[in-house]
Parts: sequence; structure tokens; C-alpha cells
Amino acid sequence: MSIREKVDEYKKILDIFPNDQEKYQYLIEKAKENDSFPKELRLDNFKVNGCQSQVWLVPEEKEEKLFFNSDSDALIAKGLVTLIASIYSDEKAEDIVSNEIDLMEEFELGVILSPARRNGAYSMLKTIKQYAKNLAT
Amino acid sequence: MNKKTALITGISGQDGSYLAEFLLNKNYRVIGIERRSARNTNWRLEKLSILDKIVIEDSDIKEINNLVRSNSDALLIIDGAQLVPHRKVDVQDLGIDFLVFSGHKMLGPTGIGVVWGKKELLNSLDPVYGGGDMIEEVHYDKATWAPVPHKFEAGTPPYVEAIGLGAAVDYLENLGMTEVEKHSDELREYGRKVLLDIDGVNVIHSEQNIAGCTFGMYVDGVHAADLSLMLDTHGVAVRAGHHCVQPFHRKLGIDATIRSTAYIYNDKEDIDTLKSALISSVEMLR
Repeated sequence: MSIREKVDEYKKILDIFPNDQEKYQYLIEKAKENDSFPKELRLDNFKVNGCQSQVWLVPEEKEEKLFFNSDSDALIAKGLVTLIASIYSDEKAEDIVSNEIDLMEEFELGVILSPARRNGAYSMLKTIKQYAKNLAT
Repeated sequence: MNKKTALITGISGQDGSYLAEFLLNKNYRVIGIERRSARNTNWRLEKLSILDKIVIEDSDIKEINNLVRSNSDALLIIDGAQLVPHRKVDVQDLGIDFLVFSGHKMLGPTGIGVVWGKKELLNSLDPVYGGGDMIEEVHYDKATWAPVPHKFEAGTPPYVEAIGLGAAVDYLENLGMTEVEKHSDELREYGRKVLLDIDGVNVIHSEQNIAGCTFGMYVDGVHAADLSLMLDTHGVAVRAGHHCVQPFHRKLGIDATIRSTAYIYNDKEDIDTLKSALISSVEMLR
């Protein structure tokens, strides 16, 4: 599935929920499903700066594709980073770099997240792009 | 060698308690002033395990002022940002030199506050900024300043904010500060009763008769950032984070707390709403 297709898929799911509370509940479920992050990888060099809670993103390259493992000590942030990581995982670095989809806009996250949390979400996206950029060059 | 002595006026507060810990480690003798209106709020000192190492003097602003006057020629500046919105303050009676407070904490607009000072002291101070309407006469080699307060109000003043703050002050005066204080006290007492018995919610603030009605809280196993987002969906606004007191949070062994504050626009029903929103949010997040 391409990045575009994954985004559309998540958009469909998020659109089902009529209010913020149910959207958060979905993110909480995503967070609870993501239990594969090894605690020993909660290292400062994998930390995403600018988030209100602690967020970690670890890149891994397999067969010329990038995969992202993620974690957070807060559930809603963890759900969000899990969702973002799954969109950009299993993709080539150059496809991530050249992709111009604005996730904040697509998911209307700006509406449900406060400015400080929006900055956190931007930092997650920026970190993923930076990892991809380092690998693509 | 004689120990150096430090006098900390806000000993039970966030800064005062950590300053006390810091100075004790530096081998100072620490005397703390506990405001009479904030009696029995020494839980921070207890948590830092330094309460028994400090001499606590029971006092209020007026007595602190007298103490300062009789022992030094220091000026007394009171940060009234948390006091003025909740209590009747009479600067003449207190005898202090300066009082400062913020507009946005007392129903006024953001970006404006008040510095009140004794006229002779204000007259003796130089302006901080240059600009329109703060000069009296300008020469090539010197300038003289307009009388107080104009010499401190350079350029176009924030008149929109000033009118807004004036309206807020009028509003509070019309309500009567004694009524404002009574309302805060009632809400705080009610809040303590209601919030302290929620299973799993730790209330770490508001022990006694402190100004206003503020509750710091945390829930074991639930991040404050998640809690604040869920509370928001119930129409309850709280602040989440370390509230600029990271050392205190480190001592508690947690990253963040939520802080809920009530004022004259809140009533007991709002506290009930906070309680039910807390219960339902915690249930969702566990």
C-alpha cells in the first residue's frame, strides 16, 4: 500500500468517529495494540523533541525500505505516533522524502490537538522525514 | 565558623522550599516566614525532608514589612499575581514599597499588569524605555523626564488592554473582594471534600486556607497529558505539565500533573462535573 493509500484508509476510519472523544479512544486502542517497543530503546537519541510527553521513534532499514518502531509514556501521543509510524513504514526513503501529504491537514488533527500538541505531532513527522533524508542522501 | 543565615519569606511555596533545600545543602541556617493566611501548607518541606531543619516564623505581609523595616533599609516588593485576584489588598495598610500583579489572572486581558509603587520611589527611578510622551525636555546633551507615571509609559500605550483591565477591576470591586474571597474559600472546601475521595486520584495541593481555589492532581498509571485531553472532551479545562516546577515533580517521581483552578465564574456544580469527568476519563485511560 502506498503512503497515499494508507492515509486515505486512516482518514476513512477517523471520519467514522463523530466526536473528539471517540477519536482519542481510537488512538488509545492503537497505542495499546503497539506493545512491541523494547523498553531498552527508550534512549535520548531516539527521543522526539518538542512533545509534551516523551515520544521515541526508532528507524530500521530492511531490504532498502524504512520501518519505524515507536513508543510514548502517554497513551494518546503513543496512538498518534503509532499511526504516523505505520503510514511511513515499509516505504523507500526517497518516497518518504518526496511525499508532500500534510497529515495534520488530512486528519484535521489541528482541530482536535492544542497548539502545543500540534507542535509535537509536527516534530514526529519532521523526525521521520529527517531519518529518511539522511538515508536517501 | 558562624553559619550564614537566610530569611525566606515564601518558605512553603514552590521556589521557597527548593531555595531552602539548596541553602541548607550549602550549610546555611534557614529561617522561613510562613504567611498566616497560608498556615499548614508545609507539605513541600515535608516531602523534601527539611521541615525539621528550618525555623518557621508565623507571619503576614504586614509583619514581614515591619521586620524588614526594623532590620534593614531594603525595599519590600510583593508579587501579588496570585493574591490580588482573591483578596482585598490595602497597600497603605501593608506599608510595602511595591506591589505587582497581572491582568489576566483577575478577569482582565493578557499583556497588561500593574506595578504600584510609592510615589517618592517611582520618582527616584529612571525610565526603562524611551519613546513618545515620556520626556519633559530634550536637549543635545541631556533630557528630563515627564512626571510619574508617564515617564514609564513610553510610546503608544496598550489602551485596549488598560480599558479591559479597568473594567475587570470595576467588576471585581462591584462584587466586593470579601465576597470573592468567600466564594473561593467555599469552593476550595467543597473541592477538597469531593476530589479527595476519588479512587486513584492523588490531590497534592490545597491543604488549608491558601488564597484561591487550585488543585494539583495526578493519577497513578495515567499520563497527565492524556488526562487533560480526555477532560477537555467533557468540557473541563485543566493545565497539564510540570508547571515550571520540574524539581518537585522529580521528587514525586512523576513527569507531570494536572492543575485545575476555580474562580468566581465557577460553582459547586462545576466541581461535580470535574469529578465525574475525572472518573470517566481515568476509566478510559486505564
